[in-house]
Amino acid sequence: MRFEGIARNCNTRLGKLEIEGKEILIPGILWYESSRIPSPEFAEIKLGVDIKAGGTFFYPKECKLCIPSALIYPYSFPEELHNRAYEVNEKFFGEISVVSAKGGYRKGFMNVMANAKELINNPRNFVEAVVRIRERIDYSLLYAPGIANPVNLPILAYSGIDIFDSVDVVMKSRKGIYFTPEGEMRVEEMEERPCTCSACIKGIEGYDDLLTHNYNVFQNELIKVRNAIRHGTLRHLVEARSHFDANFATIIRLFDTLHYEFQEKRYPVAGEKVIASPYSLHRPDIVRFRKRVLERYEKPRCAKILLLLPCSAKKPYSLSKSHRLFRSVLANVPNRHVIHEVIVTSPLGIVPRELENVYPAAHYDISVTGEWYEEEVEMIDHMLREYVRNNRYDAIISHLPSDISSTLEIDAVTTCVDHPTSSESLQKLEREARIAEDFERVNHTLKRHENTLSMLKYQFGGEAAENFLQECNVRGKFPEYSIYHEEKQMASFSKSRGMFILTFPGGKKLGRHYWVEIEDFQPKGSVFAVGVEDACNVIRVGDEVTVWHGDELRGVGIARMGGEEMMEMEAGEAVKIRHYR
Amino acid sequence: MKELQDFVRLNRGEIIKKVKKPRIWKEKDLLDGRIVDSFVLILRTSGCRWAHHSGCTMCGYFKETYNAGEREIMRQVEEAMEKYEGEELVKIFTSGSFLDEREIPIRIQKYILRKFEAAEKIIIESRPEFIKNLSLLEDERLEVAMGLESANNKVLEYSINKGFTFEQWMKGAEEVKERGLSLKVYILIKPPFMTEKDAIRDTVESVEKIKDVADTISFNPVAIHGKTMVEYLWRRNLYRPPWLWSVVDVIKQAGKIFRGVVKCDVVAGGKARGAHNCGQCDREFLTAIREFSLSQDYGLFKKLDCSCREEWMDVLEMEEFLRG
Repeated sequence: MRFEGIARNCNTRLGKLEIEGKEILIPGILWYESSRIPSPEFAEIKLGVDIKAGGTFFYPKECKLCIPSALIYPYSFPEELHNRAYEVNEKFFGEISVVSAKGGYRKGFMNVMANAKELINNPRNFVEAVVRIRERIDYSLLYAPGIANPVNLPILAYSGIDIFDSVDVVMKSRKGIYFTPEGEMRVEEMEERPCTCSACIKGIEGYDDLLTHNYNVFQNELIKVRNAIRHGTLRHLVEARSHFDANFATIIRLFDTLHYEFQEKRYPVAGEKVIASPYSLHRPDIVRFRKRVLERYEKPRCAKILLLLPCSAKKPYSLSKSHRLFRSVLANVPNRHVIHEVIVTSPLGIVPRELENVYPAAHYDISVTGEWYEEEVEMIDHMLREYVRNNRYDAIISHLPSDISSTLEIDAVTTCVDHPTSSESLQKLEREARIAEDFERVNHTLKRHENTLSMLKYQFGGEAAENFLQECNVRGKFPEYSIYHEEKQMASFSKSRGMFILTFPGGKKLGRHYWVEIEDFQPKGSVFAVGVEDACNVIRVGDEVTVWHGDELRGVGIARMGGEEMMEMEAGEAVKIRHYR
Repeated sequence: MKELQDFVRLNRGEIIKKVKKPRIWKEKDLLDGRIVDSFVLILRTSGCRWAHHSGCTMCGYFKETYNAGEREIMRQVEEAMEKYEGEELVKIFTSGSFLDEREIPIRIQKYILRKFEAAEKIIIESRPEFIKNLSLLEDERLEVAMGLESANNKVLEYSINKGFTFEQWMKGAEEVKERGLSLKVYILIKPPFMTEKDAIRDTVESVEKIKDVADTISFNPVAIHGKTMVEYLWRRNLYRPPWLWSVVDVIKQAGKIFRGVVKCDVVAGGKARGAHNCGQCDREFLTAIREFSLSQDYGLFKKLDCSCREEWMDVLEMEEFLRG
């Protein structure tokens, strides 16, 4: 068996698994087949044929490529019983292992989730167990037997389960259950069938037809999940499905509220689009943004006046009509560079202007009504208060409409009269902004330099950013800043990636930050996980990284895996090299 | 296994002993090939000694006990004698072992057997560790019923928590036979933590191992007794009592390898707490099993059929992939 991850999204990945000369995509389904039960035409790896059951603990069976026999006590049993079970099971575990969330364990290449069927009915236990098991098996494969169907497939994949089977679908088909992506119905109770698969067109007359339809819809959902991983939209898919089963919603909420760290290290730092929903407030990549703004980011030192602006539907904000109006007003204000524009929004909280191109600030879409949920208001209020505690300003101007400004506990001069873009509001903004004149002059070059420093702090952390920018100058127009040192380019801002990308000399100047240590070879196109000796654990999928062998920089590039995964995995691209020596 | 013993004890909680009246009824049974009236007496004693320590995962009889002294047991026997009408076959059970002197002192055991002087055959039950007390009774009318449940030591230890090994049980069974008494063996259908397929296999393999020592085999499909480990599992959807299809399959397979009498009393049959099928065919199955126990006519099973057979076959095939 060989496994290689190709794309990552949320807590999971898309990859290629090779078993006995056959190659399948992961997430994938093992299709059950026997003389009584046909598998679908598109079945690749067959359960019961390619992968067999190695009997049970009481009656084990020796065979090749088998799910090992194991004594599995219920999840709710005390730890001691799970330990005893592990003692008798251990000798059966090899390449394929059965891993419980409790008691002892041994990690295999493919790991069968113990108690899956029991756990799926209790979201709290399910989340605790799947996180525990995933931590036990690192990045190796996880198979949850007997629970997947077209409805729960997205949430199971989201939870990090790689491999499913068709057992539940076969058993439910026997009971006359017709699956749709959103739920199950008794086939005889359906007035119309919302499907145009071969079986449904022909007409469902019996078990075989129903099974064919259910297989088709199961396969479709699998492909949807894989596409969602490829395109970074798995979160949208599971959030949408959460409306069809309260347990799914519970699973998302428990992951978000109890397992931020587990999720954060798996969530990529780049993406295409984020459709914000009420769940997004706790979405790990959104929470990470808020945390980084409070923990890593520091405002430009020369900025003395905080100007709070409302967000715009268009991203980045600067391109919107309203923000162009704001900026044209500010353009008339003398010494305008002491004014720091910070956008107030949900679910990100606050977005300093320099970060408007960063993921997910430039990528989120949210329905804007002017009606705020209490939770959003609380989050924004909390964030703003933390922010002004960390970043001292001499004055605060709020150009926020009253629907939000009235709920925030912050001392500010209000300039928004009715609507932020009304001429009255804009005039007031211009008038109040003129206090900028009272401050020490800040020229464009200084502001650009400090903007860059703030952006670098967000990306690499404070100390690395300060050192990196020393003796550098910044050229270009926001946001396309380029950083030069002794006339050599060190880095430039990439709008598409929402971060600074390094040149080879820039990698040297950054030094050992966001570093990957490789064996002694010169990478050109890619660094594969097998060549990675060690990696900095702050690295996330999509990060800009430096690649080293000892003290020698070997390249700079884009992380395709998180730092932890680079160390664990033996196959797959770890870093896409952009520049090498 | 100590851990399972501890957990069974913990799950059961305190044994509340309050039932003092003996249970008495009469039923048809098989005696040397004839259908006769039998007299059944269940004495309330202190109960099974193993249950006091821990107990079997499926057994809830520990609740039907109280600390009856000699006098109380004798009073219960008096009550029984008022209803006894000289039935040829008498069954005297306790919720434990009749032969355990802590439950019924030897003197009283002898007294009870003497009271049923008219009986041709008396069936008593015992765990193997008390079989040695048979030497003190010297009664040739006795048939000893011994619960084996499974002849697989892994099942006895990790599933049933039976508290003895097959080898220990066999010693007791052989002693019964050496004394020239007949032996009835209880075999459990579907202990917990097992698949339906395993359960059938386990039962049949158990029959194979005891077919030469047993005179009668009585299959007991698991029923969910209150406060037992199987009830804990059943409430959490982690245990389903056996399908009646499995019960019939076991009886049929046993018939092919065992020459003695095969019986099966399906407790709570057709109900969620007992062996059941889909609900449509349960009554038919239960009637066939009941009639078979008296007639030993395997032909009774031939006509049984129902669409739920496919569901049962799915379970047999695929359950081992569900992994607990």
